Amino acid sequence: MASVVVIIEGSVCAWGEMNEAHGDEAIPEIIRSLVAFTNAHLSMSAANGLLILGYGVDTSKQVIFDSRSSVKGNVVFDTSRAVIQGIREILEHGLNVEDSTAHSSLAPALAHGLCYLNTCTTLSEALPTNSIATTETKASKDNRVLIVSMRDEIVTEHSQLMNLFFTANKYGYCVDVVALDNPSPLLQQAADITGGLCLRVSKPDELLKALMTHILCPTSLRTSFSSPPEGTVDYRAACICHNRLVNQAWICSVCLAIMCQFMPICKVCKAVFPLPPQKPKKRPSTAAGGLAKKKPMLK
Amino acid sequence: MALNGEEEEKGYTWEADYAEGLNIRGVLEEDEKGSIEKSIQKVIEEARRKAHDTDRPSKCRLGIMRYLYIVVDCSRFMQDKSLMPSRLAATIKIVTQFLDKFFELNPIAQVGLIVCKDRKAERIVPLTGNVRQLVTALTSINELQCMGDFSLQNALRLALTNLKDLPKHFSREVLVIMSSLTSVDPGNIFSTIENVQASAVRCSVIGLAAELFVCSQLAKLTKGKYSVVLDSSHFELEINSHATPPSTGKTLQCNAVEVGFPKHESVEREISCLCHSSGPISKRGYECPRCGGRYCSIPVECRVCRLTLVAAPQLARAFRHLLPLPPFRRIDANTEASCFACHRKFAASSSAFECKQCAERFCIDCDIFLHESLYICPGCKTDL
Ligand SMILES: [Zn+2]
Ligand SMILES: [Zn+2]
Ligand SMILES: [Zn+2]
Ligand SMILES: [Zn+2]
Ligand SMILES: [Zn+2]
Repeated sequence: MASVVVIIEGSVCAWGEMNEAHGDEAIPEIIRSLVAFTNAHLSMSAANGLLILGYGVDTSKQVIFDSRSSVKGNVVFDTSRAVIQGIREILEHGLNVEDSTAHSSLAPALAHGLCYLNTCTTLSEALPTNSIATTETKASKDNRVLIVSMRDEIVTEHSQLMNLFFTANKYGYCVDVVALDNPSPLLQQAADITGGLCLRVSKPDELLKALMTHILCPTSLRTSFSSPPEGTVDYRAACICHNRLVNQAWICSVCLAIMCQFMPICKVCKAVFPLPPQKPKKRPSTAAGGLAKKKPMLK
Repeated sequence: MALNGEEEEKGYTWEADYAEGLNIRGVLEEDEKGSIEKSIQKVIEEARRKAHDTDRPSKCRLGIMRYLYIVVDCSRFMQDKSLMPSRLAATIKIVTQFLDKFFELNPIAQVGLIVCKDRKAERIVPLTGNVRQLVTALTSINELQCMGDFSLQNALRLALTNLKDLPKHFSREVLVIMSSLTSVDPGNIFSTIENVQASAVRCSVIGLAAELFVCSQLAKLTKGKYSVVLDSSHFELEINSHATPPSTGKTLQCNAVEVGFPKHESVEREISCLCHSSGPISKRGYECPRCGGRYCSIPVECRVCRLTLVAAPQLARAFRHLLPLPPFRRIDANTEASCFACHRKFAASSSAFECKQCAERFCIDCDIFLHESLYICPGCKTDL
């Protein structure tokens, strides 16, 4: 028994960009691939669980399909109707949001998914008293999350997502990422932390192939398949002052807060730093002055 | 373990130390009904919680670079059953949880693994920041491989060759988990201890059997810590005391450290890295964003420009306790409704938990999971 949570990008802009970049066939192709993949997962075992979520601007509408509650006595192997309808609804919700600065938020959807997996695990641990599940005790290890992302930028939610990834890893859920654009550094790190895969799919018609060959099989069996080529993993971090990804920064030695420029006082733990031994030679002019006056955007 | 008889109460003088440290006497006097094990566990549990609470606050410097070699004794004495189910199995279990805790408290640290069996020491994992690699290697050791005698000298020599080239202002440590009561060495162990002392490597020993002079001398001379464990919970407590960063005295002042976040990338030409001048040549590596020096593992301090190179996930371990999720309101559950996160129907006569902000309702399992681990409400919009 393995439960999979599929989290699909639900921002209108991202789907629109897909259409623009790859033509009119792109969106049907992506949906077809997702339906084929999720159906394949459900068909592999009657005990397999599946939850499809969308992450959009509006967090009140997330669930697209749930194998646990959409079934009323009889088993459903077909997610197509739910996926088409669910994605349409999420995109429509997104269109109605007035605020143009609103961004789609992955963290709530991922938290939702992890809660779901968490109860799947407690269920399967409770099962062995039942006569059916004797060999299933170890199988909860195969619970996993698949994130289908279409944009390369996740600007906000950095620390929340990081915490979710570490929690997922602690409970043994692996997070796989399939990116239809260049994968965001944060998602690459997610796969890295949890031992999942991060795949870059350049064209929508390669999505199904990628999902079927690398993501469908449980993590325990992945070593038997050829692994996808390892590309560059971006380990940049976001600074606490601007939430911008940096490749060189100053960190507070007490709380490890990341600052993109030297500051005499840590914003997080209020530690006071002595001036660095040799002054940073690069550009002491404009940026440093404006920075000190700016209000902290985070915390 | 039973110390409750009258003659045994006097015990041996050496028992007093351990009993005192663990506060066993007090517990036993309180509880005579036979549930001694449980009460010991409670004491340890409390000590652990206390340790956890005091670990966090400000004085504990997270930004310290530590290099630690864990030496695991794999001699035949490791098959001994004095710890359940066997010393080796207990060690693997406890070291695994120690590694997690260690990296949580020391995000920019590297750990290596050395096993010593049949008098030969072997480095099975070089210094790395990758917990998964360490755990895989650790769990691959099985009891059938444990044989022969232990050699403290060979283990120390190997650890020293690996540690002595690292910069001196970082904390370099060796932690020996020793099960045997003898050490079969090729030469004079005390000269090796002197070498270790001269290169300022801290050596700590956790003994699984009984106290040994050579170990206490080693720990004393190298400013380490020597302890002998009573049972597996005590083992856990002792090993976890090594997870907190060592106090380095003069450098306790806080400062801002400049760091770089290199990419892990493949290179067309195979270049040897700066950390292993003659070592393995790999096709993937990390490149210093300032000077372009290449390394095969991080965290590390760039040898050329002195920039500390780390990866974002390593730092992110530390600042995850900053934003707690406000508690949910407890309400009576409506059996028709279901939990927002796990979609299970609320059981009759149970309570549901309602988020004050988004008014979504959760079951008790999800409530606990959200508040204790995830720190985020699935129904709420995350704001900056
Ligand atoms: Zn900044
Ligand atoms: Zn700080
Ligand atoms: Zn450099
Ligand atoms: Zn629930
Ligand atoms: Zn909420």
